[in-house]
Amino acid sequence: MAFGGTNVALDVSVSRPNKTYRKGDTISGLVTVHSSGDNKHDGIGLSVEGTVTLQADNKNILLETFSSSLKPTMIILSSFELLKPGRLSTGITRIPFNVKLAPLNNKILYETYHGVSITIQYIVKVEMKRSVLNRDLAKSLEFVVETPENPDNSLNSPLTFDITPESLRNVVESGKLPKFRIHGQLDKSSFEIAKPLTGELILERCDIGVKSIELQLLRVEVCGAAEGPAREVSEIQNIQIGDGDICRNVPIPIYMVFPRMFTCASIATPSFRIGFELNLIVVFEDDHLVMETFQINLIRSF
Amino acid sequence: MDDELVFKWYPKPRNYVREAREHGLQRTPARTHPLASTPKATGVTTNGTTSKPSTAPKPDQTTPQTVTKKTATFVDPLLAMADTAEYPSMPPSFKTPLRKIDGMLTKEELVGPWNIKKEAILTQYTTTEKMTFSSSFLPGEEKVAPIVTARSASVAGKIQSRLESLEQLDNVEVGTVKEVLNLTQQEYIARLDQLHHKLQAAWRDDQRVTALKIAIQLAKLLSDTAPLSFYPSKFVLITEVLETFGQLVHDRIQEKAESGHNDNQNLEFAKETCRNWFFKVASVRELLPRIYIEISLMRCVRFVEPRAADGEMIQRFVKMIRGIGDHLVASYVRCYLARMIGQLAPEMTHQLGFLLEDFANLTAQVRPEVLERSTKAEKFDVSSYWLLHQPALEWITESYGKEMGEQGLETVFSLADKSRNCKGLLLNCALTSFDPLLVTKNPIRICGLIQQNIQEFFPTYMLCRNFGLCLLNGDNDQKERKKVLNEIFPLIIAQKNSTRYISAVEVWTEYAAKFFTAKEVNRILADIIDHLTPDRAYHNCPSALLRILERIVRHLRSFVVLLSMDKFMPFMDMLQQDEVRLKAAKVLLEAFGKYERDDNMDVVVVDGVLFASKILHDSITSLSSQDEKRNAAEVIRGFLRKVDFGLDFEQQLNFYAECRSTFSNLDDVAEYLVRAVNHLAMSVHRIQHGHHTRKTASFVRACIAFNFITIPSLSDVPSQLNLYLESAQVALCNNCLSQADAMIKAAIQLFNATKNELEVYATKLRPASRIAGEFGSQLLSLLLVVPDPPEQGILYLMRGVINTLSSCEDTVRRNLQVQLLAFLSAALQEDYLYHIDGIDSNDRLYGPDPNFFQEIDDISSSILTDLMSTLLCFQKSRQFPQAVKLALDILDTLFAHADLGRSVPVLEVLLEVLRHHGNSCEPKRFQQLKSFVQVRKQTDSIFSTVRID
Repeated sequence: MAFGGTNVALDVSVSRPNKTYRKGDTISGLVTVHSSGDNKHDGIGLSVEGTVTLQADNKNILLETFSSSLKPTMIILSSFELLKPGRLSTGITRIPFNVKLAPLNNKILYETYHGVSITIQYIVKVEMKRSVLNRDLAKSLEFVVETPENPDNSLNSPLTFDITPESLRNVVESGKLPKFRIHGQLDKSSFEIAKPLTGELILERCDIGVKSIELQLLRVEVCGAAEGPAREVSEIQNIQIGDGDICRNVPIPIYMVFPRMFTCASIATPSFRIGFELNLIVVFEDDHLVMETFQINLIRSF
Repeated sequence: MDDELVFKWYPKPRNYVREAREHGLQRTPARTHPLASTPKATGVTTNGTTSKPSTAPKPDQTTPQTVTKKTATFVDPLLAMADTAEYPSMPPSFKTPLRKIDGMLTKEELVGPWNIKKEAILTQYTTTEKMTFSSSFLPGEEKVAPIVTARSASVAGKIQSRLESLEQLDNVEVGTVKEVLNLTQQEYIARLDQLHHKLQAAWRDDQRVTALKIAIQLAKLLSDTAPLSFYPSKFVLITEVLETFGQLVHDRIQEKAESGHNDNQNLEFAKETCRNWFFKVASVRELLPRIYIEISLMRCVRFVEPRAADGEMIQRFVKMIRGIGDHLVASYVRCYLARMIGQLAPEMTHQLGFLLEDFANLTAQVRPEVLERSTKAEKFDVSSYWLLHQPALEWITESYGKEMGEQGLETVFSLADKSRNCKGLLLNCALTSFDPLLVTKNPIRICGLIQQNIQEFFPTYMLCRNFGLCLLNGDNDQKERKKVLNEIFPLIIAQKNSTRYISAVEVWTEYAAKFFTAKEVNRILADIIDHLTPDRAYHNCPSALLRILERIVRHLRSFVVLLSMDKFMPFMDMLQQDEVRLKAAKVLLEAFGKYERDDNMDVVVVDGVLFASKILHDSITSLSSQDEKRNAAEVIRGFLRKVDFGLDFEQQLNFYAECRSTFSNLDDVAEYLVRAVNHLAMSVHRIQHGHHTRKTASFVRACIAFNFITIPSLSDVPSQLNLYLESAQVALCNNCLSQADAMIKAAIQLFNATKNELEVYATKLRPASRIAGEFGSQLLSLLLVVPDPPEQGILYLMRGVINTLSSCEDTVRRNLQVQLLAFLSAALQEDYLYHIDGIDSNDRLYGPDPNFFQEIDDISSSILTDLMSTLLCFQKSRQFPQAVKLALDILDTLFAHADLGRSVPVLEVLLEVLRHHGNSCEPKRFQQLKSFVQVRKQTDSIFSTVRID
């Protein structure tokens, strides 16, 4: 709240509706100032920031004290003055800007990602400096960065699976397992992130009823390679593909859309890694469940 | 009042023959129909709608022209008929359905058939069971079952909460899910409605996530199939909400795309919004709500893809549905998908084949004993369970059939062929949804399928019935038909339950009636009787029996044929309830009236129909409404009109006599009988060329006697009066003088007795005074030719009329008196205006008899005097309107019938009245009078003395 009753609101927007940019793109946008009265300022500055934040799991708070690599790492920082100190008249003032998206020296652009212990975030921030009596105003906007690559198709073959009581490990109470066979495939091992994950599953036989078949998408975050990796696995989403006692010997589609923001193309760097796993979970009528885990690689191509 | 005042009536001597020659206009044959419009005047008229041949002489040539001029501004109904006579049906603009005009199907049209189906489902599938409704959005304090939110709060602030909200979308645990137990169907529907409104309200308040959550919760309700009997209705109600939701989302995106100026950018924003929706929906955890919501948003796909739905996407949905374990739930999701495809991507209809295929393949895995276990809880038998699938499956096959035709049918048939458990269901859907002409192309194959179905649970009678309905519209050759009948009928006979049996046999009776002969129908009737007689089962299905009768009569129209079946009357005997008997009678009579040919009249048939008519007649009681009576009479008359024994007049009369006693309750029928008997008498007269033999004379007298007895039984006095006069004319024509006298006497007596009560029969268009006036003029016209009976005095019957006058109401009396003056003037002429062949009227009877003239003179003068004194009375008491009206009436008669030269005193009085008050009281008639006099002055010297102004 400004003294003297002048109300100033600052806003920033970018021109692309999906706010998605790639390396080398120019981010065009608009800074808008709503001012209810004559407004004096000490300059308006704009900055584009990209950070990688690594954060150990809550469980390992101890570790944090030793770790040096947990501070945010800047990968982009460019700031400049948008408007010299002066006065803004009453009403709406629009100031356009253009910034080229480029990493700092020796840094690499990673895809936007929000995870539990790793966050890669890009924001464009606008700041209005004001006299001592008034608080500075700031507004920021997150935008999305994608880093497409040329796909390496040579490693991309379907992942087949065949689950039977014999194929299971870590069996608890093996005597109670029904006879069953579930087979099928994921169409690929590397999935284009913008396209759905696809595959097929056939419940060939099962002596007892099936309650539910689910796909669980997990992220695997590894950071702090130096002190021994801290591995964090967490669920992103769980999608049901079979509801109730489904028919035998009928192919059922495996289909999942990768959620935005919470997935990104798989990343492996010296200091952190982001990877993904898919669990196929079959819950039987008696609430016992079997699970098959697939390592999947997410890619983003041009 | 001056007692001495006497006015004398001087009739004008007339020579009718000369007058006709001198004043009549020249007559020429008309070449055009006066009502036909000019361009096509030539051809149409001769075979046009009017019965009068165009060669009939027309009065003059000017009339047609004026009429045609008028037709330019208004549509003459007769003209219209004349026009349509040439074009057998309606003009093309009426035939073209509105929808075809712009060549595009409107949205209503696409939705239309579903609406019909929807209503049918909602009325058919109901429940009395108690239900449970669970939702977190319902207000209400009933049992609250809190659900533990599994996820513990974690660190990453805002992002984490967003992630959670994304994850929660599927669990929808905003607050707590409330479970409301023990709801009746009404309460359940009310809650659905409530949520529907809530969804719309949330949308209006920009609470889009809330709206989505409500939609998800509702879709989730569809995973619970209990109570089974309500499930189809539940589906209808819930998908309606989903429809709303899909439309809201669609409209919002549309709005975004269209708002503002920068089209391209707006479009991009709209696309982004749309993608956001899809991402959101794709992350819904549970399968069923996800499928439903995805399908409901199908209409939005067009914003991001070139088409609303491509094959790939539909394939995905089709396969996704396989993941639903419950077959009933899956069937209805398929139905919803089919609906959306039909609405949004009709060109993809062929994909519905995959839905049907999946249905057939997946249901084959159902083990009856498992199913039985699960449906037992709801006291549902297995066949009813499969019937629950019917509406959903039928919708799919209907949409599929419309587009795919024969190929589609082949798919369905082969699926039915392979199917386990659902052969009957698939077959039934094929029968009800495809074009009967296609379905019946290979009827023998269907027979096979129906026979195979017997081991399954689908009701065979329903298949037989629907198959029969198809065949009725099919186009098979006779050999096939015979074979099919032989294959199917044993299946129907095997039906033990009488309701099921009758429902199937109903259709097949029509099949036999339509394609075969009475022999086959008779066999079926025999079987029906066999089936329904034990335990008097026929008591339970009267309306079905009635429908069987209707279906038979639709094709076997001839009563000779119907009654030739020895089982027909026993069949009719099964119709026991009065109401049904009555309806059956109506069916028979209507058919008889419409279709029976006159030439196969036969006593047995007539007896049969008479029997039916009697049932109909006996249903009329004093409590029946006028409409019922009119309706019954109409039907019975239709039958009577058909009964014609040709030259056997005796039998015809006997028949009428029988009818009279049978149909005594219906005035209309009695009236018809009198006319029919008159017609009969005149037919004899015509055949004899007016010269009766002793035998025919006595027959005609019998006819008249019949009427004499019948007429008094009517309750409507005006019709009685009319019929008396009509019958009297017939009697005169046939030289039955004494009977004619009796008729006329009876008419006069009746009139005398009822003349002051005619108000009862008056209508707005026909007030009592007019009834009396019309009767008077008809009677007097007839009396002119009735010779005085030798044993009675001069103008005996007319005196009767005069005698009735004394107690008549004033206006009626004056009206009749004026008419009498005209009558008497005519009666005085040497040669009357008309005669009846073979009857010597009074002119010939009396010749120039001075007594006769004197008598008439006296009577007419006294009548005139009476009228004139009344007029003077009016004048004195200053009742000018009455005075003017009377004066005008007298003056009209005076001009037409009196010798004006000698009637100056009367004329003076009349003109005096009119000069003073004529213009003010009756301006119209007064003006007409003036112009009449003006015209006549030029040709008739006598009129020069008439001064009106």
